[in-house]
Formats: sequence, C-alpha cells, structure tokens
Amino acid sequence: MRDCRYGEELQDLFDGVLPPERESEVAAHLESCDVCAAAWDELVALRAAAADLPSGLAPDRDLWPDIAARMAAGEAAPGTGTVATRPAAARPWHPGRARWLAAAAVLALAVLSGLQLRDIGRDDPYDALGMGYAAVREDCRAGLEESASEMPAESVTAVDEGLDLIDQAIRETRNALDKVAAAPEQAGRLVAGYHKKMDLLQKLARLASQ
Amino acid sequence: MQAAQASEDRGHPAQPVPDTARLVRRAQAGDHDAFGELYRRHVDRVFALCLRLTADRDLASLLTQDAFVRAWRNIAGFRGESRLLTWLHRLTVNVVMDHRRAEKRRRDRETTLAEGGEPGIHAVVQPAPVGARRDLERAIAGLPTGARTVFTLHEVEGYRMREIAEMTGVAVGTVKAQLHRARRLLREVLR
Repeated sequence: MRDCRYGEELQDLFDGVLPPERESEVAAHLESCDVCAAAWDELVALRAAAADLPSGLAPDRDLWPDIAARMAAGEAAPGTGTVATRPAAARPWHPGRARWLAAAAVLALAVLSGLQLRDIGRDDPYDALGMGYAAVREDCRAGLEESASEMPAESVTAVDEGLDLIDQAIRETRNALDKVAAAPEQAGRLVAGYHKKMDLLQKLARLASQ
Repeated sequence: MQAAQASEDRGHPAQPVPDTARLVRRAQAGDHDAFGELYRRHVDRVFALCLRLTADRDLASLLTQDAFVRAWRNIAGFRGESRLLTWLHRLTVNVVMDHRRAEKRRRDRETTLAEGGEPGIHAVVQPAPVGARRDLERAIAGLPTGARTVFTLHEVEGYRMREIAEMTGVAVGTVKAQLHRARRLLREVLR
C-alpha cells in the first residue's frame, strides 16, 4: 500500500469509511493494480487472523484474592456501611471533603515515601504500610459517606478514579521498589523522587483546606 | 471459588448455575460471592484486553484487578441495557486509559526517575517474523502504544473508530491514522 497512491483510500474502502463518491474509482483501481490487490489480500488475512485470536487469556495467577481483599477493605471501615456496594452517583458528598481526600493522599504518600533503604531488606515492610494505608483510605470513604451534602455524580466518579489512581501508585511504587531492591542507588533516587512528590501534595492539601 | 470448582471436579452434585443477570442482582445487593462468580466468568476476557493493550503481563494483572474493583464499586449503576461483558470491556478500557494518562503525567513530572526507567512497564516485545497466532500476538505487542491500542480495539475487540476515539480521547482521524500505521507495521512484520 505504501507503493501506491491509493493506499490510504484502499484501507478506507476496506473499513467501509470511504466517501461514497470515491468508492467506484478506488474499487476500479483495485481491480487493475497488483500492488493494491496484494495489499487487500493481506488486509483480509490480517483481519481474519486478528478475529481468530483467543478472546480470553488466563492471568498467571489467581487475582481474586487481591480483588476480594480490596472489596472487603471497602466494606470493613467504620461508618462506611455498604459504600462499596452502592453506585457512585448515589453517594453523598460535601465539597469540604476535598481536603479529606488530599490529606489522605498526602498521608498515604508520606507513609510510602518514608520508606528508607534499610526497610527494603526486611521480611515485608510493606504489609504494615499497606494496612496503614488501607485504614486511611477507608477513613476517607467514611468521611464521604457521613457527609449529607450534594455533589455532582461526575465529581464523585472523578474522586473514585482519583482514589484508584492513588491505589495504583502505591502498588506500582511497591513493585518498583521490589525490583530495585538490589540496586540501592536506584532505590535512593526513587525515594527521593517520591519525597518531592509528597512535598507537592502537601502544598495542594494546604490549598484545599484554605 | 476455587474450592467450589474443586468440589465439582471431585464429582459432587453440581449446583444449578445462576445466570449472569441473577449474579449481577446479587452483586448489586452486596454479595461478594456472586461478584466472585462474575469475576471467574469474565476474568480471562478482561485480562486478555488488558494484556493486549499494555503488552505487559504484570501490568495487565494489576489493571485487571483495578477493573474488577472499579466494576464492584460501580455495579449498582449497571442497568442491564448492555451485556455485562460489554460494560466490563468499556470499563476496562477506561481503567487502562486512566493508567496511561497517569503514567504520562508522572513521566512528564519525574524526568529524573524516567532516566532510570521502570522495567516491565510498557515493555516492547520483539515480534517474530512468522504468521501464526502466537506470532500475531507478539507482533501486536511490539506495536507502538497508540497503534497497538487502536488495532486491538478495532480488529480484535470490534469497536468502531468513533467509539475508539471516544474511549481514548483522540480524534477519529487520529484513530484512523493509527489503525493504518498498525496494519502497515504488522504486515511488514508478518510478511
């Protein structure tokens, strides 16, 4: 297709998005151009091969225990009730709770970034940190639940996604630190980087609380 | 769930298999076990999508977890107008895209960390030059991120370009260009 000026339009024809007024010319060209005919055959074969790929692939391990633990943590915190089972749009919210979230994020990162190189060699220093973080996170959710004020559903969703991102950052940080545990220099740079990030979040938290 | 499966394997009388709609209703009422069964039925599809979008098994595992946790949190909002799998797929794509955006922001801010790199994240797998199914998987994994995403969503998952544009937050023209690029690269590799 790269060798023919009709290459792009050929793909549009293949995808059914070519403007109708161009269809007859491109189709006629396809009949007379060996390069485009070969390209067409390759597109057909590629689509067939892609459609033949397995729709499901098993993960390397059972992910359910971790998922179940996260679900359970979402229900176990005092005052949360059944927050994790309710749709995001139904959750009450108070705008002032933004500082709750900011503070939780700061605390979580503070706990994490407080990890020093000496901690990496312990059996599993993350377990205690993880429990502390889970408590902070669920306290935060309890704060949301207790609030009786209104908030747009999309904002609640955004907050939810923000909490997910914090969780994700925590997990990836742990993975990253695991991977560089044998390389103190790299680990030191990571920790220094997270200290800087924590400083920034602390500033944000102060702004949110004003 | 594994215990239940093992029970069946040992020849114990099989319990009636609840349909998906019933499991969804139970999950919406807070039933962890019902959601666990939904997980078991759909995890391979969700993981395959995550793996093809990320080309990284560890990351795909993390994002699969995130997708199911988010699904649990939002399942009360699932009204059943679409199939649960369709809803899960869309939610999973959103999780992957959110991760990608967060990664981009992080890389933009943490240039010093980026120098050191984080092995395993967005690792590019070198494709093999033959056309078997496994080689197509490898070839897809070797595509640049944008091309891989669009090709996977369009050719493997069957989304339309307009839908992909909405999910990924780019213009339809960009989706089309990425799709064409993906096909060109794949044809070169698999030829």
